[in-house]
Amino acid sequence: MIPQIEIDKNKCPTPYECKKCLQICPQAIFAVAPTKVERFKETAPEDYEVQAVFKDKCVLCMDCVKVCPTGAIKIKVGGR
Amino acid sequence: MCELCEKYGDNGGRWYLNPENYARPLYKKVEKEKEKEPMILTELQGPFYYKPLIELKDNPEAFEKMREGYLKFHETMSGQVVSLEDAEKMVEIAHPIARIDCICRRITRATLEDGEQRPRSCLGLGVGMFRWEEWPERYKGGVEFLSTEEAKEHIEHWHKRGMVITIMTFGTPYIGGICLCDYPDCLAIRMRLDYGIKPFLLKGHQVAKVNYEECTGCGTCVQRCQFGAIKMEVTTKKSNIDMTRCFGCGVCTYACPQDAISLIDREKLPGLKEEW
Amino acid sequence: MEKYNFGLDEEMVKALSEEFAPLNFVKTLKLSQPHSIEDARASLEEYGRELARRSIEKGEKKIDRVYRVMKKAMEKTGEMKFPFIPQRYLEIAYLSIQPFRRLRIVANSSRILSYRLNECSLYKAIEEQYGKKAANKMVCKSACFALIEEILSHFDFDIKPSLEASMADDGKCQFKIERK
Repeated sequence: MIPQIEIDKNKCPTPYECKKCLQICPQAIFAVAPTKVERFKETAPEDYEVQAVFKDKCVLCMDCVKVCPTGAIKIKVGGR
Repeated sequence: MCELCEKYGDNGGRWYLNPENYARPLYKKVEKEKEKEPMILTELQGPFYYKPLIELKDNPEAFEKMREGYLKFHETMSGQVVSLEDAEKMVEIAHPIARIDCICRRITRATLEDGEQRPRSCLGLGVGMFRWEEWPERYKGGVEFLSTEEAKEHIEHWHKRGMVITIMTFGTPYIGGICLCDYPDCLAIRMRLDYGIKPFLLKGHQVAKVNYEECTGCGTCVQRCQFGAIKMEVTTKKSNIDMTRCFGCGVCTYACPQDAISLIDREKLPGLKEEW
Repeated sequence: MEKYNFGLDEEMVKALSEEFAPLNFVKTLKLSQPHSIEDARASLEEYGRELARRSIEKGEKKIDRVYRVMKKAMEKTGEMKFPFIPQRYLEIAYLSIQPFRRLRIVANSSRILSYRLNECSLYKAIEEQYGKKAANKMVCKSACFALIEEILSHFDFDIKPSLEASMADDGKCQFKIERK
């Protein structure tokens, strides 16, 4: 079963600046990207979002949950 | 034959050595009403785009069905592994060449703000580099124009450290970049290997072959292969390359201290010539 | 970040398009009269050369962001004067007199600059004024050759352009400028 990995955007307002989960994950399942892009403008840090993408690769080591300074990451396995 | 060469090659030559596939005008007449076109985020959001597909990974039937759409999309954004030798020929053709931050790595490992030491490994090609400031987010970290020689040095530098050289189109067959890639942060290698998105990254025109006479079984090559194609054969104490899995990147040939691995033409091997 | 203009100066293109309006020029050629073809060829060459001169003269004054960045890149790398300088002026000239929105570049490497005209206002004007037969003699190519040669010699390139496909035979013109 693919785990459910939810990241609370309210608890993780500027993921690019923190990026702890992105760099600790042994399976590199996370991605951080801008939610909007404008001409002649760099996207503001708050307009970035981190998502768990390659979830089928997650081995449930929970390193990301432990490293997250705000407790924004919740992992659940399937329907259990 | 390589499908892209068949369609876009110049008289049977390799498609990425055809200057037509790098050509673009510098200017276009303005169309006022089109000025405010919304930005397409696919390229900058990278992995987000594949999320719906990956969600279906444990439902093979639904996964296969959805994958069709992704395969179709990648007819317009395709890639291929190239050897160092071919990449050096490419930079003789492509102009301008600019060093940029790897968009994939920036998204999957958030490396952009790691300062001067970060591996700014990708090369953007073509006249779009002259107008990068229009979309600073796309080229965050800026662009640095390189001469042909500097570009060759750049490619060699990263390749010899173990990075796979790939090329990427932006509207096939227009070649927009030479990337120096590293699994798992490279989206192209990952989507091909783990999710079977074949047109995102075709195998290269060569494959690696071990010369058993020369191989001392040191195992250096095994550590370098990003495609899981090499293992140490315990009984023979030689390195064994599965040529059906090999993408022909050539990383192992440079890693080998004995020069015991060489790249040979895929198309000369009847068993591999249709394997891309 | 500053909002740059990456397009060609609109006033410049407009002024050139008025100065070199193909139909007005073609009317002066008197191609329907016998023995006028040599004269027409000479006028077309002069038209092409003058278009090149004026494109360069105006284009060197109206510097857009693409040109500025391009020049910086050339300074840094010591490369790319060919193909991009001739390409810029060919684009200014053609976008001024032709109906298409962008010039179809076939190759722009360090060795070859090649482009295609799938439609051509000069050819079309000759056809309208003097008939298909007159147009298919391709006297108009003198204008394109003169345009290319003038641009190349202005920037010290000693290269002879060639015509790889023509409107009369192929329904499109394709020029190739190849360095030795």
